[in-house]
Amino acid sequence: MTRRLRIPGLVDLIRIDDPATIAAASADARLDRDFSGGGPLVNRWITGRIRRSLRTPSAPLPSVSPRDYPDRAQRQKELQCRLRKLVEEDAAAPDHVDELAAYVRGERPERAVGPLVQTAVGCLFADGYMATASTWRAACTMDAAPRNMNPLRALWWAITGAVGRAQRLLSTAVGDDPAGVHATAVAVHSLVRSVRAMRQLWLEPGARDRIAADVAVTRSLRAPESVPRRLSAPATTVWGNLPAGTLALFELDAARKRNPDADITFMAGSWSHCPASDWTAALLKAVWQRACAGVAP
Amino acid sequence: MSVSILDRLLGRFADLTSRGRPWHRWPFLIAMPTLVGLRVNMRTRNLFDTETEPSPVAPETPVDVRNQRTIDGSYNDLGKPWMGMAGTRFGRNVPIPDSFGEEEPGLFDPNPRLVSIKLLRRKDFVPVPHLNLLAPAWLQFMVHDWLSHGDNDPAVKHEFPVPEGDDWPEKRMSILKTTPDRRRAGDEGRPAAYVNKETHWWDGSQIYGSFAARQQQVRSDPATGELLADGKLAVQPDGLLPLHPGHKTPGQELAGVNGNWWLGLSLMHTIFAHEHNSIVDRLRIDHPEADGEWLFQKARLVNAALIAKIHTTEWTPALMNSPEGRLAMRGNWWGLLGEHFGRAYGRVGENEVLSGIPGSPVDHHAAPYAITEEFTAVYRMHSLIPDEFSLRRHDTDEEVIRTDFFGVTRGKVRTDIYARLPFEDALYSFATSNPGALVLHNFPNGLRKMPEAPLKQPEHAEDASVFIDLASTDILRDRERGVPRYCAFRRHLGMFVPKSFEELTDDPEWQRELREVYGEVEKVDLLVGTLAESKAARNGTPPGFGFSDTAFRIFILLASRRLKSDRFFCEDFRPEVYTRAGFDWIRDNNFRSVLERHFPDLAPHFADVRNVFFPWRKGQAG
Repeated sequence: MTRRLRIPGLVDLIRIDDPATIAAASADARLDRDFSGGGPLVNRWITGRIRRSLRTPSAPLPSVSPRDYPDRAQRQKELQCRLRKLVEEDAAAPDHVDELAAYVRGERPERAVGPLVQTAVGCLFADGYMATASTWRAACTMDAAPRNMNPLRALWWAITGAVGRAQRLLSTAVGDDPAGVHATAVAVHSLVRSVRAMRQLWLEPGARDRIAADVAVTRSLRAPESVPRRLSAPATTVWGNLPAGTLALFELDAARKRNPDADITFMAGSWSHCPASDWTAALLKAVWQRACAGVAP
Repeated sequence: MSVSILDRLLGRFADLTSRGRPWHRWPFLIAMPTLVGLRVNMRTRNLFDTETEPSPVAPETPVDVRNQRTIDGSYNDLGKPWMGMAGTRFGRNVPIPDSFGEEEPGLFDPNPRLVSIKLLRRKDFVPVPHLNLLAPAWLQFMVHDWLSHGDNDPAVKHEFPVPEGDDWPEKRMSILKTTPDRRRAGDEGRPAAYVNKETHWWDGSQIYGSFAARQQQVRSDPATGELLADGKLAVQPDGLLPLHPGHKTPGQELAGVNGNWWLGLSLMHTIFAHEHNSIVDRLRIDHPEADGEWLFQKARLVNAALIAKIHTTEWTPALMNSPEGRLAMRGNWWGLLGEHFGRAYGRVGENEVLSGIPGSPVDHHAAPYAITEEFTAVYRMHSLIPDEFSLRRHDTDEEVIRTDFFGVTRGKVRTDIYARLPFEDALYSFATSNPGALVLHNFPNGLRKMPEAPLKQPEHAEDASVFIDLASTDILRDRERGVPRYCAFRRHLGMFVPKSFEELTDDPEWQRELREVYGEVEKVDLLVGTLAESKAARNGTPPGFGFSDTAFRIFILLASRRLKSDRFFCEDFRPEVYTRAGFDWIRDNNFRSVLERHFPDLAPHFADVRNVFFPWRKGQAG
């Protein structure tokens, strides 16, 4: 389903949750992650927040870097190769699987999941990465900042400089690697939701005896709720004539319910695919299997 | 699909009111917009497509697809001609990742046979006093129109031991697995999907068949095998259906779909074969020059629409016998403005709420049209069938035959029943008997231990060494096809989810039995949960309803979807397509008038009943 919210001069926003439409739209070269430039007032307000929030002190995060951003594709490919190698070596996150499995089995408190997952992700970018309450709070701040609709919270963040501080903290923790910051600040939340869903599945009476590990992964895996794109040139579409500056939100997690394929969850067929798709699936599978192995038959 | 502002408001309203209590516990003026809002929400949240690339291909067809239904249901949607075609997949009402079939060992937990014995086995027959047996007959008549999973591979079975102490032969039960559709390139990471062997549309395919060869048969003179030139369906001179030529069961009647045949189906098929022929006669008056093919196609359109109307405005309201239920279903056909307003002034705009779905624009909402697995699951209503049938004369009510279910099945309909009892009396007998209630402990025991031979090898019908337990099969079917269990199912529909057996049902004995079998309420199967909620005042079956609120949620979605997705009930529901006479025929007829037309002698028996699915007046002895 595609819904367009348009008030001329004020806002022009399209929300898409149909898998086929997302696939088609993501292939359209005019829909990019260049969040600079004009557009209706609310659109400019949103893109400004995206630009300011989703960055390290020195560079934008890869998830909001335009298609032709210098070295973007090369770094994406390198990271994907590195993570794939870990999967092939059966070493997705060997030091963290036990703890995550214990969480899934309900042996750790609910609040433990954020730092646990952040540590597992952070170690991919910095040896000995150890998430703390501060790093997790920083991740929550960075994730919430572009979507925040609460003016009081925005004011508080502006006064205290919370967003900038979060960027610096997380950036330092991964050696100023923008991919590492994206992973530990933004992508980590999808993985946290996935592990939470896996715990819910595990705790559902009888469920774990009815499903194989691959099914458990498919049922648990969560995609980002929405990823933004901006129209860099006018386009004529089935939704009408869209001027440059129109924002499109791909509602991936809603689309995943219709098509749980990696093409949707990780946008695997797109130039903007997630390089950690194999790693994420491998980690979740290992966690489920370890959780199963950890209980008496 | 676009959702109007009004629809969004109604959806939000339903979300709000549903937090506190189910719709049927609100006053009428809140309950009705809540129901409309629930449907809006489910159209957005509970329709999922299972078709993947490469998409099915509709065969080229030489017929005028704009003005007639095709045999296989293709070209109803002219943009996606394969939609709803026989051989396409069942859709889903739950997200695709949550519809994987269950696997061992959990698949057999708890043992389906244990559920059958402890929770489903009929102790004393519990009737529905306000309904007659035509209701379950109609139900199966409809189900045969909408769906069939087809035959299964006899070599691929579920096998499991039966509970200790059970007298089941060889102490092991085997149930054939449902054959899934072949995997396609686009199926990676997705659950198995299953194919509907019939057309998904409400097109009378149970009468006319979903395949050319069967349609040719039902339209052919049984004596000569020649296609009837007048556009009629074949009916014997004695008014009965022709026998199926070459069928392995002696006495098997012929119909578009004639599997699982029993007297109830025979009654419905015979009535609507006659109705088709009456429509042909009427159309020929206005179109004397028309050939038999044209008359057949137009009569089929009209007959299918009349059946849809009867189901929507008579059958379903009989089972949802409350002011809200009646208004909801009659509103699907005539809208809130009602039948009389529609007759006087016609439609008011395109809005389905005001003027009903027929004639409004097609909308498939969130997924291409298909009957869903969850719909199949909630239509498991075998408890409606009694274990004993009393067949009586309509004038005196004198009993002529008393038999079990197998006495009214398959070829026996002809060899044992119609040989001793006129058709009208069989119809009268059904109309004056009650069906079983959809509650625990009311599954017909005859269906819990059916000899397999009469079904699979009628030539050795006397062999009684292999049996089928349909109750166990029902339980296993939902599990293997990935239909969520009761609590998960309700969660997906946004309904209240019981956290204990006490919240599931008010009956302490049932609570104890359920706990004994399942241990945890989350494990309760969908079928069992829907039967158990019949005794849950707070969140269970609505007052006056013959089925559960859980099933009802799927019905309010699918009952309107069968109409709203079908071009012949929406944009092409007009005299130009149906003919003026055909259009008026649908408007002016209902089940009562159909029965009056074909069985005038029975009319005094149902003259006083508000709905012909309610029990008729019995004949007077002496």
